[in-house]
Amino acid sequence: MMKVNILIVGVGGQGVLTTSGILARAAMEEGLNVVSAETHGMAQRGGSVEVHLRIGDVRSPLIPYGHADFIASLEPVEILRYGHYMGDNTVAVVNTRPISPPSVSTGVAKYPELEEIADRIRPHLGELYTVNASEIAERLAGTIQATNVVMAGILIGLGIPLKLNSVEKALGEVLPEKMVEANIKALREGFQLGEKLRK
Amino acid sequence: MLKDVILDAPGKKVFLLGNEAIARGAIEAGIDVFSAYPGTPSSEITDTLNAACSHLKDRMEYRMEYAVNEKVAFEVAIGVSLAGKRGMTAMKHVGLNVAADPLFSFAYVGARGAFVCVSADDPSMHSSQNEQDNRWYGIAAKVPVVEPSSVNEAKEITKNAFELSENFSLPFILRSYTRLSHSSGVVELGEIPYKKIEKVEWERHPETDVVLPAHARRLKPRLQEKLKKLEDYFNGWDYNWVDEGDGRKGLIACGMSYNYAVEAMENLGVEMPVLKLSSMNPLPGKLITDFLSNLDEVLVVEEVDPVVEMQVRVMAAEFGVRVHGKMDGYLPENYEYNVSIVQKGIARLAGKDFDYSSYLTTAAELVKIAPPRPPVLCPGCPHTAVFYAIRNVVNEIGRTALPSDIGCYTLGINKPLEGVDITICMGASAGSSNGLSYVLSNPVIATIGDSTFFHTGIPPLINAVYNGNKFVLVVLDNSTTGMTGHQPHPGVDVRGCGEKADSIRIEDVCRALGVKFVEVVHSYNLRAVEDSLKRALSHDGVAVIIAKQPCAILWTRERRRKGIKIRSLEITDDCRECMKCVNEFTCPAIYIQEGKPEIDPALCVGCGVCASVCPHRAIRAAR
Repeated sequence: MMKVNILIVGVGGQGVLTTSGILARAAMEEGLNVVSAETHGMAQRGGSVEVHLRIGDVRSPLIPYGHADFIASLEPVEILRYGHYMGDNTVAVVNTRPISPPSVSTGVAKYPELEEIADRIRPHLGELYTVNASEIAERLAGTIQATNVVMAGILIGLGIPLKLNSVEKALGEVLPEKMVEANIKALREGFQLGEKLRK
Repeated sequence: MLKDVILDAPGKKVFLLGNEAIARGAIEAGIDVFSAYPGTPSSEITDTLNAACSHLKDRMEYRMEYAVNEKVAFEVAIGVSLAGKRGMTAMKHVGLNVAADPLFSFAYVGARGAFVCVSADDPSMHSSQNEQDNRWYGIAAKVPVVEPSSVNEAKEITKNAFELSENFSLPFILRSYTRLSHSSGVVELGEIPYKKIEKVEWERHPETDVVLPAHARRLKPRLQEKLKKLEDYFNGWDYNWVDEGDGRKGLIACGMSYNYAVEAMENLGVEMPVLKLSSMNPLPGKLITDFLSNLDEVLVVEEVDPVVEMQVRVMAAEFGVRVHGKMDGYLPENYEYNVSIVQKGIARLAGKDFDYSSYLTTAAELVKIAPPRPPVLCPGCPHTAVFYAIRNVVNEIGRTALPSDIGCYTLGINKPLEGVDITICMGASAGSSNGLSYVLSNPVIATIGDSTFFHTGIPPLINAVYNGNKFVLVVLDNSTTGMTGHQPHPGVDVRGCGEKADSIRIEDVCRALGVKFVEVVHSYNLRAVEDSLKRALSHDGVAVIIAKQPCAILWTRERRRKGIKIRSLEITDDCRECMKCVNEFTCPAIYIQEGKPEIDPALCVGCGVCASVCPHRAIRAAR
């Protein structure tokens, strides 16, 4: 009985929902059962967003506490909000480009150093990888907007049970045609990076 | 995705959002008319039927409309049903409060053509002002309530509710909630019927359709008979069932909670018998008592209130079965459930250990160093500009009451704008202002959105004119229903299926109501908004200011579509780091780098309001 729990988190506007949609479609393409749940608050842009994506023999759309197999955080501090899903077998990958919330610019709160974030979460996880996915997105797709696709590639490279070509196919169905080619490049680069990290 | 919702491929499996599945269920049921006012978490049902309707035009015709409010939407669907056609409406839980009046009476009348009302609850209040459990409405109004347990079942039960509504001549409530409406899952498609909108001859049935007292007295026992028959049917309904298990302890699991319960039992390695319920009202009495008769103890798992548990406690008394649930603390009373929460309750029943508190402790530790990221008004949001102007005026004139309403602009509560003192429900900004103006020595400046103005903002304005009350109502007109995903309303020149509409001008409505002071200003023009506010405050009577500028997201999308280059702003060397733009205006596109404000070109939409805020003229369009 295969059961894989993936948590994807980030900031509204980063494409968190699109990422889970692409992976879910690929899973279905491969004949796997898949359930997802999205949580987003009141605002259209700028708030915290989380998506639970569960593949295989699962029923509940929500991941049980402590049972995320993979966590992908598209923004560094966002992973700090999801400690309740971390367990000894969780593999986490964190994009290193910060998006500073207004609470920081107005001096209400402080944005922590990347090292501090990593040091705090590492003891609660199986493995932790920090990557500059936004840089890869800018370099290969010409836009930071492709960060989510790079992260999806990394997840496949790290071992979520999906084939690269079924994800590419799903990407072609979900994204506008003129964006597909550049995004496939970004996806593949992410995949290779994920495979390298895994070794 | 839309293309899957309209896909004509019976038997094919597709991945749909819960709300898309409900929309697809309505399409497969051959819906005739759909009417709704948007409200999270129900909005995508409406938006999906909106997007699908033009694609299905030659195949499965139906009408869909955005209504001014839920009561009107409900009544539209009543009209359709009484003519013998299939009507549907969808709303968030608090929307049913607005429609509660027709709900209670229509139950007596009964449906002729199918009538389905989707009520989407919001356990944990992800985007709502309260956590009400709308199954109570089913009991109070004597209306059947069905509750799917999965996305696929959401489609199937929607379709089935249309049939049952006609077979039993009863209106149906389909109870969804955030975790079903905003979940996605694999759905097996059924057939999309071939159907035209066919007009029918009206047949009058005043003996049932006119609820004057003599008729209503006869209708009530008939309603109770119908519900009794439906209860018998629900005892054998496909979506209520028993999973066999070991021992004399069992579970009754309702809707989505069924999935939590099954996974929790797998995790614990126990196999108790489970009664899965999807009919919440009437409860299938025989099915439940048969189940209870084999047990010593039962745990009822349901979200939000102990609606089923209370009834099961009564039934169980006869068998001496001990009932657990919310009422004895086996499961929490508040907020939504998940596998872990349910697992803890089941573990206690099974005499096993399970505690998830260590995960929550870890989480609480980690989140401490994360800067808060609450929802904020978007870069370029016209509401930010208007709230900034209101704040300036209030700082000048002193203490002022600032009631507001339900919409994106409720976020005007955030520092440093602090432009919201009261938020109750749709239309209550103007309603409470009437009361405040009687008793306060301070001025009152209320804010309301354009969609909300049409929803329930007009009657309290009429009240103010008639009673001679004095307050300022600022209509934050962004030409859309922003928070729920940009649905149109009567102030916009487009209708439900994308047809052109005659838009209704808010200023014309206000003048027609007898409001003597009505001014329209551009939201981005701070000076104009401030000047208008000062004039309005000195007006003796109710004054309306309509601050107009399209939602920044729509405005940007429209400019991109037309190929207009969006010029972001930049901060020049003239900046003296006074931080007024950061500390008083707060645009999410402005951030601080090495002590100096900077504008993120990826976020800036070029509204230019920050340039007029800057006292040193240090902000200009980027070259």
